[in-house]
Amino acid sequence: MIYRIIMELTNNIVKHSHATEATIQIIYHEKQMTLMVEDNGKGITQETLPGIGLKNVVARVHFLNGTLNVDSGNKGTTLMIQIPFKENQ
Amino acid sequence: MTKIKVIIADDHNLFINGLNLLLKEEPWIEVIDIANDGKELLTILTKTIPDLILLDINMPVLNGLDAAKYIKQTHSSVKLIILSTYNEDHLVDKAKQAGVNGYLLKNSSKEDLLQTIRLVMNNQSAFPYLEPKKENTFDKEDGFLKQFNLTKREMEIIQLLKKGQTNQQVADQLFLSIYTVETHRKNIMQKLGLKTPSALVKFIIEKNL
Repeated sequence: MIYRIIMELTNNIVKHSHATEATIQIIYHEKQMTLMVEDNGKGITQETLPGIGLKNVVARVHFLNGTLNVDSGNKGTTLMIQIPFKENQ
Repeated sequence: MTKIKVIIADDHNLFINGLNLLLKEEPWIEVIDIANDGKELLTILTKTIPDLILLDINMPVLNGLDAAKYIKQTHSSVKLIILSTYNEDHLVDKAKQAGVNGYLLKNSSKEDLLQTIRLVMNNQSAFPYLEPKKENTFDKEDGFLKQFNLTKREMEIIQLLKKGQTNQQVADQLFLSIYTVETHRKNIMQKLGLKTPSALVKFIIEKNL
């Protein structure tokens, strides 16, 4: 599932962002994991905003009880996805 | 021929003894004293002035780099060669800034050491070859980036936090939202194994990131 999310976001960077650098990292915290996807591209613009791919990402994150935050401007885009671990794990 | 008077400063006795034996074989070198830490070295310098000091970086009380800075100010004629275990660019840079004349790795051969001493005594400098830095800043990873797996952006944020900036100021400067900066900050703390914001500030200052 997380793999699919990363695939989609990477695909977006390559296809739309015109970025020259990108960083993707997964950081394990005590109760959750954080997926950070950063690029230095042109940002998410009006015409690219309602993409099916990103909607799929949102759906997947919600399914995992996670949250997604997008920080986008003309200096680049940072996507932060927090996914909580299951209590019994 | 006048002998070159050398002081060895290192906190590892076996290393000092080995180095001492090795230099004894050279008729043109005379080890006149040894120091086990930087402070002891400075005390010795008030009594005797050598031509050359072989200096370790990691020493208790006063480390080699700080001692080097001080010695270069007070005894500018004394040559300094750092003998270090670490082949790290930022340490070599710091050593250069401290004004030392040479930097040699402890796993070097005797010949390397003698050659470095000859060079330095001839008013030349001797430093390890550093890979030329690549244009792409993404590849510019120093020891800390690698050791703690920090990204370029995380290092940027650390640099701004070091200047005492708030999350909001950092966010404005990097064109990010405050939430993003906070997330980065949490990630940095997780990577460094720190629990509180004050521990982070302390870490940044102590490690001089």
